[in-house]
Amino acid sequence: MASADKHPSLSDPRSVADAGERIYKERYQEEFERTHLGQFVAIDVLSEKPYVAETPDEALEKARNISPHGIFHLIKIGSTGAFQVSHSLNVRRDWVFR
Amino acid sequence: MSAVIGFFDKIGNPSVKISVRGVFTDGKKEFEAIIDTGFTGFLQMPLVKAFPLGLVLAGTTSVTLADGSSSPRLMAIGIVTIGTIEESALIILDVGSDAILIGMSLLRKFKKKLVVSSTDVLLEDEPPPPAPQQAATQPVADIPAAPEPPQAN
Repeated sequence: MASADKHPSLSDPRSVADAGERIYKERYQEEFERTHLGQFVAIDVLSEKPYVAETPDEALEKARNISPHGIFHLIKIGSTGAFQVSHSLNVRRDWVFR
Repeated sequence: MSAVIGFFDKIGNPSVKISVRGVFTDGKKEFEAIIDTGFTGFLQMPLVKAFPLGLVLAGTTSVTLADGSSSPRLMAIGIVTIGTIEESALIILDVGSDAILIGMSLLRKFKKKLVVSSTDVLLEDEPPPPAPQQAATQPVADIPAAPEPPQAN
């Protein structure tokens, strides 16, 4: 595991997103794309547990109820991004609160 | 049926006034939001406008941009009011745009239908889903028995 992934923090969204994507790819992607295609999964990057639901808000609600101290990365199963945006600039800002 | 009357912003985007708040009921603030049918999420707003509202940070997600690339974003949970209806919604926090965007998931959550003409922008209530169709045939017990044919002598 990369050192940046050990304690991802929401002050560095890219590290949380990277950890979430890595955990998903290594542990869940193959199975979930067979069984839950099109649904949403919130990955707790601290416990590496997945919470799957039909909608993004349901997945996050389930995750936050079961793991109130988790740090979650939301993925749409089978898609590159959980949401499509047409209006946003691709600003590669890797930090928010530093 | 109640409709929320929207407007076109200065560059012609269909827009509507919404209010957003976080955990504090007195922290509600009104914004002009663009209705973006190319946005599949609920609401996107600039991080700097979200800060004072006390939204609850929920995690991160990746969004697919118009050029096909993906980009990580922070997500928060807030309470959004459109017209007289209030709903909680996932809010994507953006650092690259000043615009507040309403996406298709929010319209679905509020059960609103977007109507745009050359002069008007309306968010109308969706009609209720049609009632399930009644069975084409009556139960056997309700069907009156056919009269007996006359007996030939």
